[in-house]
Amino acid sequence: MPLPEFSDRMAELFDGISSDPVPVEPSLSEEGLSVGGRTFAYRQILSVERIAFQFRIQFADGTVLVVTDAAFVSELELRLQAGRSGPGFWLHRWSSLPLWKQLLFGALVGGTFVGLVYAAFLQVYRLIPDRYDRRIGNKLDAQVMEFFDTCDAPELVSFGHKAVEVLSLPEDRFRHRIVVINDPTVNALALPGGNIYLFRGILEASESPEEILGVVAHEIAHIERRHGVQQLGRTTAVAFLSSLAIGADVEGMDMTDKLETLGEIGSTLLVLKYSRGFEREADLEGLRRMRNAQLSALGLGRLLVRIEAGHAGDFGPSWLSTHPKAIERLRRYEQELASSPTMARPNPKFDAERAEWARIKRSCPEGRSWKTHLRLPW
Amino acid sequence: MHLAQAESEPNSQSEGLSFEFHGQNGKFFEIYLKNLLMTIFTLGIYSFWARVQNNQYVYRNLLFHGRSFDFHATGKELFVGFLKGMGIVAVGVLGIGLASTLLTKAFGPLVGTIVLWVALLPGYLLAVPFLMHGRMRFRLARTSWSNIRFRFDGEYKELAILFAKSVLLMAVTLGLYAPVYFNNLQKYYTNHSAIGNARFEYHGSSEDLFWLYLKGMLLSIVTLGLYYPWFLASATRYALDKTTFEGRSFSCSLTGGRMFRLLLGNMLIILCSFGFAMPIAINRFMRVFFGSVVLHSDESVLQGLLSQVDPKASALAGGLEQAAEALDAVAGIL
Repeated sequence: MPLPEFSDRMAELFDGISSDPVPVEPSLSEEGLSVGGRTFAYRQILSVERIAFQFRIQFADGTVLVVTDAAFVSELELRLQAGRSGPGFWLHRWSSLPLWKQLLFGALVGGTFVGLVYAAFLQVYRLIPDRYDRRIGNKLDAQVMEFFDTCDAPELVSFGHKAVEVLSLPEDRFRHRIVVINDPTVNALALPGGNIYLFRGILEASESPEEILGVVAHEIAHIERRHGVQQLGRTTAVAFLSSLAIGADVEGMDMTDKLETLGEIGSTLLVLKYSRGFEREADLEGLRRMRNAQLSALGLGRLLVRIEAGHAGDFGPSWLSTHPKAIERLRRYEQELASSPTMARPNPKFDAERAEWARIKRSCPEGRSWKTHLRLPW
Repeated sequence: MHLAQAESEPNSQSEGLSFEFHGQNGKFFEIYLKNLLMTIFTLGIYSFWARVQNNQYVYRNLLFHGRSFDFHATGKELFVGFLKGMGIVAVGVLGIGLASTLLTKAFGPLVGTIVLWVALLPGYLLAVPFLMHGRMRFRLARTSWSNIRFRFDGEYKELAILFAKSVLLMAVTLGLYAPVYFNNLQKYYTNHSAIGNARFEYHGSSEDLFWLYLKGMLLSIVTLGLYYPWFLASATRYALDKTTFEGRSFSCSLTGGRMFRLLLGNMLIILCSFGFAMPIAINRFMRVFFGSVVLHSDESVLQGLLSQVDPKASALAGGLEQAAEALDAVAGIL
């Protein structure tokens, strides 16, 4: 192997004008670092980095000096350290700590800060007035109405009024309204502000009014607990904090962008977990309302188990779902029944609907308008 | 013989000039961690400075023929680019919102939306190449090797025509035109790239790429995605094998098996660490990818390159893109 053509103290100066480095012999003095007939004051040295077997010294004017002499660099760093004060001094102290100390300190301080920011995001919804829920609910309602047919069969409308009446509480923030959507989807949803949408599919899948009353109680709970607005805060917090944690993509290396996407999957799983938390809370609040209205809690549990069985294989592991498993929920309802005997009996208020339920639940004819057949992606 | 070469002699390859990546997981993680904390403490504002530092670490640890690359963008210019981009995107979004409301009132929701999309299409066809061109120009203007800046001198108009034509043909051919577009795009990017006064060139053919993509897509579907790393490796090899620098050719020896192990390993590293082990994944990628690339030439091709700086390159395109992504994320949440 040929021997290097220079002494240890020899270095190369990259002036930014030509790709050919200039061989130089740097020296240190009180004034600064002298190289190739120029003297750079110590404050003009932006960084000293070890890269592989060499040290790279970056000057403020863009010039770069590459040296291999570790003794020279140690002497330079001593002089730089002596000249440091204020933030520069503390930054250097921090950089010279062992990695495990930096990690420990960073985890403690960073973890506390992240926790505080996250907690603040979770509470932001308390500062948002109720009218925001109504406004956003009205806007979304207009969109729902634009793309879905509703069903106005008198028996369903009357059942909806009655359900809201028995399940509402005097302390409720919002007035609730039930809309039946003429669509075979087996689902129900609530918008912030008070609107509850029951899809024709869920009505047809039910076997008694109590089952649908359980669904309505659950959806009212979502509205009253302001889960829509809370979810906004949580999603914002997780998206914001995870976007801070990810983001080391390298310019020009497209494959590193894909690494970021993988990181985002982790944060999505966290958001799903929070959604399940809301579902559990809505279940408990829904039970409270059903107990208050002396309605049987078993209906909703049975309906959920039946729906889930009908979609066997669609649900996947519970940590990938926004809802807890139906069987878990059914067990919770059964426990509630055991502790509250009044909930085990059908409420006579709904005797008429119970007797006619097979007809009422099918009183919504299959939709024939263009909206039913044409679903636009937005 | 130069300083770095003398030290790196055992690693140099006799058949050409090679890359080496010397990034260390511990050191990069330290920088990443510091940047992460600062970004969190400043609620995101520091991210622009953090990006610069992360990139500088990676670039400076990448050596070609014993001399390092560098990334010269500053956090301040990225931040200013983002703020300008935010302003432009906000005005654009408000304009589109207003137009949407007026068109919906005039023509109803369905026709109004269709009219809006048709009206926005020319804007899209002009805006996307603007972003692509601006990003490439800025990226190369802020990258150096041996302290000599790269530069990109492609014309926006040329890219806009290429893009519009390709979008139309891809729509007509149901995507079959895509490999031809990728080939033309690669040619446009490479042939307008230079370092100082020395140029790169791309000699790939659309026909070759078409068959390569067709095979890649079909086998990826048949193997339920398992073939994808092999396809990615062959596409990367093709792009590099067909690239020259001052008439000297590059070659890439990245195999499908190596790519598979790289992707699988990185996926596990990122997923298991919720993204925190990103520096390790990036180091792995850089080491494997650049370890497989060689320029078949002696060192004379690198001598006497003279700097030609592009003073007009700006961070606006990148800022616009980031602003659009930020607004998109907010809109997604809302």
